[in-house]
Amino acid sequence: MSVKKKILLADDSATALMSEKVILGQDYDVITAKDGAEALKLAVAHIPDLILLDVVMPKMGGFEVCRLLRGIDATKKIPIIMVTTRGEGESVAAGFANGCDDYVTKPINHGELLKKIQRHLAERA
Amino acid sequence: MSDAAVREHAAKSDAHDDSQTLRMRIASLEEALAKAESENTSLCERLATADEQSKKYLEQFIEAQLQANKVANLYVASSRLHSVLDKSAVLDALQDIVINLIGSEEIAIFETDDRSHSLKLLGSYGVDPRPFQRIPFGHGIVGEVAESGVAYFAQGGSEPAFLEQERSLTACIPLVFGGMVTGTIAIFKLLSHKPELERSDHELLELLTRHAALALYCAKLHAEARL
Repeated sequence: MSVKKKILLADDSATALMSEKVILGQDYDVITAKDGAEALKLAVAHIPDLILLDVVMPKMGGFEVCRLLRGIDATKKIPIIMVTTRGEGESVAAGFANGCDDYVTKPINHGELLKKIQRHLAERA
Repeated sequence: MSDAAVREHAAKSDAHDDSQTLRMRIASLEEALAKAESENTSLCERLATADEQSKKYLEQFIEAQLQANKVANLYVASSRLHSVLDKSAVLDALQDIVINLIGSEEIAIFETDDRSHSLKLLGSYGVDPRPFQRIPFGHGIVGEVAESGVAYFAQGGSEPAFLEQERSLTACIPLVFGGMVTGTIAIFKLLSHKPELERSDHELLELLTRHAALALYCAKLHAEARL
């Protein structure tokens, strides 16, 4: 029996979290965080296979969480996909500058998200 | 017969035999070629059919993915709306749904006030609330939606008369409960990477028309019950 990959979802929006859980819950083990600080704590505690990180969150923004995770040995290689409401180059560039691997824009296209997650998990395997 | 004549005769006979063999070989090759051509035609036809099928499956897969996307969004929206009883929590859920599932960070939510025959602003996000505090029924697009109960979607081109504050209006849907318009949701500018509302957005907005009205009504009853 294959063990499901673990994905950490971090978003302060209950709607976004629920939507992501609906998309991913069947194929992956999902853990959720409602703010940046909790995301950081859970990432270090669980070492997920992939992290989906909202850019704008209370306590600590997604870019900051991403930058900090890249500085920790245990989490520095985990693929991080940023979730943003802004598709502009500036916001995307800021994400990559902070160490994220990819990004998706809200409203999330389920097919696109699944494809990106599968690709990053495959690259890491 | 001289030796030379015998050799010539033998050579002619050999040549004749070779010619016969070659003719038979050619005939056999022509037959093989015709068979190969026929197989090639058949394979091309099968390839075209497979190609056609593949395109059809891809279209079906995309359609299934869109449907799954839509159903998931409808499930999430109705779950969020009906999981809370407090009016401000319903409004927060509504804003959250519009931001995350529709893709707009500029919205205003109104309830009808039948005594003053107008709409009263319940909450807004990303827009200046001042011009929207009270909107008489029939006034501007938002007031018109409240009066008629018919949703408005910006089409581009010939648009009805906008009020200044409605310039960036993308959609305005009525909230309908028990056959009565109980409010409206106005959605202004969409997120920059979203050019227009999609088919699935229309279906989600249709769900909001009924379920948001019901959730707000339940919140009102709940508040009255607690008094």
